Amino acid sequence: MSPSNKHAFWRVLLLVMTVQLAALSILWFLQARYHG
Amino acid sequence: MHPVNWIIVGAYLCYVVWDGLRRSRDTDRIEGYFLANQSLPWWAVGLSVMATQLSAVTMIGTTGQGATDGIRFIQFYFGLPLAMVILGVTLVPFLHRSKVFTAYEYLERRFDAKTRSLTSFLFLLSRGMSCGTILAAPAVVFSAVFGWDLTWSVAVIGIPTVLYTMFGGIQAVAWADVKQMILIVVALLAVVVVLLVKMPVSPDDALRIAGSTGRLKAFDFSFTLNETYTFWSGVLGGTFLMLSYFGTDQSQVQRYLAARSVDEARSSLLMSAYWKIPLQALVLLIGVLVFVFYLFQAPPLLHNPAHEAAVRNAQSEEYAQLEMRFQDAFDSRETAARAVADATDSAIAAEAMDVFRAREQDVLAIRDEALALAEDVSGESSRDVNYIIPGFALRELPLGLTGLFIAAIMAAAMSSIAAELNSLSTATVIDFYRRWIRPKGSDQHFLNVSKLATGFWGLFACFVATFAATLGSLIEVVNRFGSFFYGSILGVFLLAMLPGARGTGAFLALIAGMGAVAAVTFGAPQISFLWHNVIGAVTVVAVGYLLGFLPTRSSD
Repeated sequence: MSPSNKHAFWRVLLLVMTVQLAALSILWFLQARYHG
Repeated sequence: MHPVNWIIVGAYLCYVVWDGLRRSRDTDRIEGYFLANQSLPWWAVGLSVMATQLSAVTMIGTTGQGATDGIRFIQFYFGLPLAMVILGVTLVPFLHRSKVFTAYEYLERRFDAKTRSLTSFLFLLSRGMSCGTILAAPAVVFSAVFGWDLTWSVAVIGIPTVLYTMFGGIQAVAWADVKQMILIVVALLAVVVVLLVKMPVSPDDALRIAGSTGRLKAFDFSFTLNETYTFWSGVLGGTFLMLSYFGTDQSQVQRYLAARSVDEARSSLLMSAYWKIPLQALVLLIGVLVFVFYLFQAPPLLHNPAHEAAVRNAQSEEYAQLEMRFQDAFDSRETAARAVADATDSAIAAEAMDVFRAREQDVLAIRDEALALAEDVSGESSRDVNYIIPGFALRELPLGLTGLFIAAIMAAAMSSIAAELNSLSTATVIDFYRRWIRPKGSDQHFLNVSKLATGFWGLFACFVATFAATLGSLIEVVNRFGSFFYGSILGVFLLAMLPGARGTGAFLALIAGMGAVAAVTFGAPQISFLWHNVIGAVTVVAVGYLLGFLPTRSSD
């Protein structure tokens, strides 16, 4: 990542949030399908 | 353990020390030793932060927690992404641009020397102790599993770490972390593959069986202050904890101070958040799968081999009877678990799950009896959650992979300890030695003092580790002790961003914040410790801000 790229932080942020949401969705799915 | 596995562990230890010493050539100036000349690429800084985060406690404790309690612990991390965003736009650019060595150095510029010294002292106190307990956790397990003397266990992990941290500085620590992180992830994924191959039921059935015991409940939306892990304590309390940890703890701050630019510092911080929830979920799920695996293959009645041997010696007849009852209960539970897996429609499955849950309770009751017996015989806590995964690795993993997994546990411990030692040394030299004892000196002089400080904290950690193990519950004491400070330290940094706040107000507010947390800890012990961070931070900001309005002397 080049330091001159001002949008790098926001791009990484978008990626991070997507991954977190994906992980949480999987956990949600596991709970909905298997819990109980 | 097979000699091949020992060779893998030995090769890993030699490589880590050799690589660390090799990097000491680049660190002939203090900027190189503490900040790696601000030359680390963002992905290396990110992986390094992650490795620091993933300690041996995660490898053995969190997996064990997954096996016994399920994945609800994941809620602890729900505040993390939010905290990362807040830090990325506030504190990170602030600290990186101010060209400081320690986060606390900034506090003197903003407030005064006493606020800086007190905050840094609190950091040294809590981190110095916690470093010992991080070392103690795997050392205790290794000494029980391999029959080593505890001092020897502490030395095997502690001495190589002290060597490469002492001579290589942050450069060696960060690059060692990168390799250790890769080793840890490979070892964890290998365990998943072995579990899936060896499991006699399909992954879908395995999850259905685990789910019937409540182990797959990741979200608990009940709002209760007494329950440690709920969605709300994770999002609110967790955000404050993560803000404090990643924003004000020198062991973390030092990493992004070492990045090349503000943008890279922020990106590296986000990198650690990027993996945190998926990786913790993976670690917990491994624990859950180990639980299911042990439904079809009898586990030992007591997972701690030292306790098992002691009970077998002291109460052989009673223990033999317990083992027989355990085997019967295990057989019934296995049959019930297979019935859950074989159930063809939901009505039959629901009935099978009821039976399975009842059989599970029978097994747990016998385990409780065995644990009580172990406690009587050994005179110490018989909680054996931390022994489940090392025992599994030794008995069930194929040749070579066991060595890799033991090396990964060591790697996890070493990366966390190394980061702590480096940051403890930085704070000692910059905030105390250079500030109060010898402000002027050559780079070489400060470098030598830094290495000595690293060595001192390393020995201190080994000393605490040896005692932490014999005192049993000290680990819990130190964790509670740490939660006294975290919220309050965060409060001081938040206060620094408010225009009206002043030095003496900040100092008094810091004391008030710790007092408030102490009052809650002793006055209302039922309140979960995650909320202590919120209470500490809010008290410091409120008191400090209000004191800012009081008339003061011109020196303030």
